[in-house]
Amino acid sequence: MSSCSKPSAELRRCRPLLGTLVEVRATAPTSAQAERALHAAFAAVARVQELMSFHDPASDLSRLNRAAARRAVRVHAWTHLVLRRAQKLHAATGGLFDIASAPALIRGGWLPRAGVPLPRGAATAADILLLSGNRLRFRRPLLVDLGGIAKGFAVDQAVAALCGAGATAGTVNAGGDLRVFGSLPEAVHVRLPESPGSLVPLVAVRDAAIATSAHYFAQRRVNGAVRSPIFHPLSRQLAGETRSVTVQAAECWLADALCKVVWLAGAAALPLLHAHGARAWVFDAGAGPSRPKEVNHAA
Amino acid sequence: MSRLSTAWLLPPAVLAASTSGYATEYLTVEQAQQALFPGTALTAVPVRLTAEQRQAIAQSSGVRVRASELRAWRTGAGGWFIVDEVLGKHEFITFALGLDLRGAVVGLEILSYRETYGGEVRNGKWRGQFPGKTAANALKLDGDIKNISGATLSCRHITDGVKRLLTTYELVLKTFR
Repeated sequence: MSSCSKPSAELRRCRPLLGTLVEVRATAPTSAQAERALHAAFAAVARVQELMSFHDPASDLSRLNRAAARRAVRVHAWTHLVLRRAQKLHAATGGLFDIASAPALIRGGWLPRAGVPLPRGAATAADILLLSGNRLRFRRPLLVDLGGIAKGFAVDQAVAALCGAGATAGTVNAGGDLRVFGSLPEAVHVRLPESPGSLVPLVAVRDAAIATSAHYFAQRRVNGAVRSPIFHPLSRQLAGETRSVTVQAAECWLADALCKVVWLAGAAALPLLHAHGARAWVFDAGAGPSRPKEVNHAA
Repeated sequence: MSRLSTAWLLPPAVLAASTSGYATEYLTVEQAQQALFPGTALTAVPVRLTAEQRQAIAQSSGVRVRASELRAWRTGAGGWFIVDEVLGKHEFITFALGLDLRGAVVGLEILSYRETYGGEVRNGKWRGQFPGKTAANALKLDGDIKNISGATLSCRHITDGVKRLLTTYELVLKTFR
């Protein structure tokens, strides 16, 4: 307990959302306030799921994928914001971060068929036209998947909801993409990619987000080779490494998205990390036990 | 005394050790009852499934039925509160499902989560170097792991468990006397 002991209550809950387990912790002056904060946080995550799920035919995202190549589609402000951020990152990474990679993930079996023909050719996030009034259009047939950014965005919205409901400290962890706020630093552990049951402490953070891309639970055989659901839009290959990338940033959508960039670009992502005040660690399962390597100029 | 300050007393080797077990308790059964049915009195109703019923539930839901005993409670209004568990390859999850009198889901709460890996702790040389590299001073004990980044487990087993319980409602509880 804190040495300056203001009375406060901490509650911790976990629910299945976003295809994973979402854990929320809230500290507030009273347990009733903490309870309300938890409720608001889970509601925010559920809202993001409703809007941005690839699996839900009624989501904003599914409506876009079905219709936006033919006409402008109006979406929720959150969906518009996520697509705007994704497109900006697509430009800033020379195309490495691309939310239009869904066809490769469908072919690999990670995403379901969307009920529309798989677009052929090289349409990218640059083919999304962001229009006024939260409307969007695709210049060419396009299948968008927000798997690399929406989970982090949901965490950010949940943290905003916790704060808005009067929580003084808290954590939101959506299947490994997490954000903490409050006055005390929190230790964050990661899994060793070749031995995911082994948890190792990585860093302690305060008011920050940490996301990890690792696929020890999601690797599949594609055309005879073990692959991860990370697609290189330029080489048009699925990732084959048993690797884990962790990124720390101020906001979770950014940490989430930058994980994919660091996975694909390694140390070449440093300027981008610096520009966003972010840092990253890469674990490669090699011959011996992996060790976390912070991405820096020596790498 | 702050929890963080106790970490300063520990040698770096302990701080940097890895662990291969992880468990969290979120809610007791009573707390989950209050979360799903606030201010409602619940009565325990033992429900035993016959072999026939189990088979019918498995067939209809496509999910294996392991237990013949259902940990169930009823509200005065005819709703149900059921505590159940799901087993994944590495995880063991206890959850509570609330149903209203028509069998619609009122809510779901995870009661506890446990990972069951083997003794996979590995000793990398890097751990000796770890504390200097990051803000290890503020790290807590392994027994107090609160934040895991990269725990990308799917919740498919829970989805299956809910499907199995909703089928159990349709085939058994709906017409429960």
